[in-house]
Amino acid sequence: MNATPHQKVALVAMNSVGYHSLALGYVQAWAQADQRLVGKSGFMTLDLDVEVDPLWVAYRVAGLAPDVVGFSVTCWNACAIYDACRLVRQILPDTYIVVGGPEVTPIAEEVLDAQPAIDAVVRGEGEETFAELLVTLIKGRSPWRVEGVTARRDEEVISAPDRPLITDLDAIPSPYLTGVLELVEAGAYIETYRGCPRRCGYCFEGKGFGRIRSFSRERVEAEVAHLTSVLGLRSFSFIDPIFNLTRERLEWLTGVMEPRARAGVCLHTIEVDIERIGPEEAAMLRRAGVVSVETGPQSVGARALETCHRSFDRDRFVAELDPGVLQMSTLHVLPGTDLWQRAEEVGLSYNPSPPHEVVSTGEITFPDLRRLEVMGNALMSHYRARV
Amino acid sequence: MVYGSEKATWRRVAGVLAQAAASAPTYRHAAEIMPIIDEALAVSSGAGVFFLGPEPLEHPEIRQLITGAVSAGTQRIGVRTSGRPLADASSADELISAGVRVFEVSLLGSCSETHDPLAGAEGSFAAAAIGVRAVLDAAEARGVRVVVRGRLGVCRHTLQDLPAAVRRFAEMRVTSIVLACPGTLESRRFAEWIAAACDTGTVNRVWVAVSDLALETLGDKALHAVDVITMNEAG
Repeated sequence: MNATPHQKVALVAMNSVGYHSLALGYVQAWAQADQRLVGKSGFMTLDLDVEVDPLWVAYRVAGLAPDVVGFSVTCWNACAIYDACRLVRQILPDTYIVVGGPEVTPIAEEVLDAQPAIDAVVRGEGEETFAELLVTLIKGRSPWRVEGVTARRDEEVISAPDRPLITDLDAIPSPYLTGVLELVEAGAYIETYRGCPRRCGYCFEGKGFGRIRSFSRERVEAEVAHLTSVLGLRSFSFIDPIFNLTRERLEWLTGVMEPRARAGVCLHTIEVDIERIGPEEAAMLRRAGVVSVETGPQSVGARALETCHRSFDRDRFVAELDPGVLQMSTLHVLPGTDLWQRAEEVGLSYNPSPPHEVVSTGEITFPDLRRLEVMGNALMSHYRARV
Repeated sequence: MVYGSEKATWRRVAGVLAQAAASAPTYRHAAEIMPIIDEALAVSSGAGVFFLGPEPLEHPEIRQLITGAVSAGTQRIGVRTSGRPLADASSADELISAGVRVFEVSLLGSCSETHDPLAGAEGSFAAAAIGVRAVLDAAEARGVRVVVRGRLGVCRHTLQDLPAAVRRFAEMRVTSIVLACPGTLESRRFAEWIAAACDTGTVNRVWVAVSDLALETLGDKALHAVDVITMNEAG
């Protein structure tokens, strides 16, 4: 008979509809494998839709009565999660509330100042840091001493030094191979590397991940085999910022996927660098079973892209472009990005509340941005209306 | 694609439409129109085909023309209509099935009281509203994406009703609206109402484009000179 864990841990994500959180899968898989927590900590992940009312998020958390609850925060779900944290704090005053993710990492101290319900922020890659924090809490030690954690000490907010990036990504147990992640058709995605070679001023992909680190090919191939052969998924995705990062990598992934594609497995919503997709690369994507790709430099305006340090081959982009769907929206200024730091310098005004949508620029007024949003919606609808 | 006169000023529009309804219009035959479509697609393979005229859906060969345009390879086919023909049972569904994806419905007012007298046909506003609904329902039933676009003729008779008409179109769930201004418009007199119509569209999240009006007349609404469809007349 299993002993009751001393420490009940709830992990909460609010995802796009139909998806599960890979980030929390990693965090749970790492913590479960940590020998110091075996038999002491029990885990439960709540994968909820971003549209769920914070009252019901708090209701679900209250039902678990956890000692520690961790929320994965992005710009899209931050406001809802902050609401849920306030409710959880009222309902479960002794529960230790932790948040992590790209939205809070660069502004950890500001988050704790503004959100008194939250006890700690896990900054950067969360796997190792969260497990260390759990061990620290079990031992009754000081959370603000854990590398990568920002936490309260009485009335103070203290940030411990950053934790170095995980050198060997294979050290993170696979949430798929360990059975941590419950799979959903078309809702699973595999990560093959972290970081991004680009340094686009608006994006958080490369933020804090100075170099590219890859999972081993054996690990990726094992995950693909598990999803398709063992679990029988017919559709999934890769979450990599650039699927065609290198030609050689594209050839490898095509080779991995091709036999599955012949058996009817498809890949959806793959992000590609479209300027580097010629006929041969397009043929490879087809052989890999790719049914939809996403691409976009966020703007086609030369000056805007220059401001964002985004190289852009306009001629190649236009030549290769015949998309089935256009997606348009105003830009969001994400914490920690280059644009966030240079907003005043480049004349950007944005909503300080998540998701930090641009309110006006030096050249576009707030009313014109709203008009452009309506125009963009009409353009997207017109574009999609085809035989 | 024009098979009738589009040159009439909007001062004459009510009369033109009434005349069209009262007398049999003359049509260009499909055999004459198809080469124009082929030629347009040869120049630009991605070109769309838009059928215009007093009432293209009453063209005796309209189904043949639509089928021909699809066969020729066009991916976007639109019609500009009063909306009345769409209210006939199964008409909307047949057109969607044939390949029409953009339905531009012309109105001259926000309700029967303002639209019908200008259109010269009692019941035409109600029929248009039924037609718009029929298109959206048929598209949803087929799982097909279509666009219903509103078109409002701007003249001294329609001017003060423009904001209400935009609102009415928004309630009908159109995707965008074009305010068609005649070249002879006395800009300053009209600017205030056109600006109000544009703002009505924005707050109802429907794009309002203004055609054929000087940018300076639009003032701080200059963005509304941009349409989401560009049309080059081919014949």
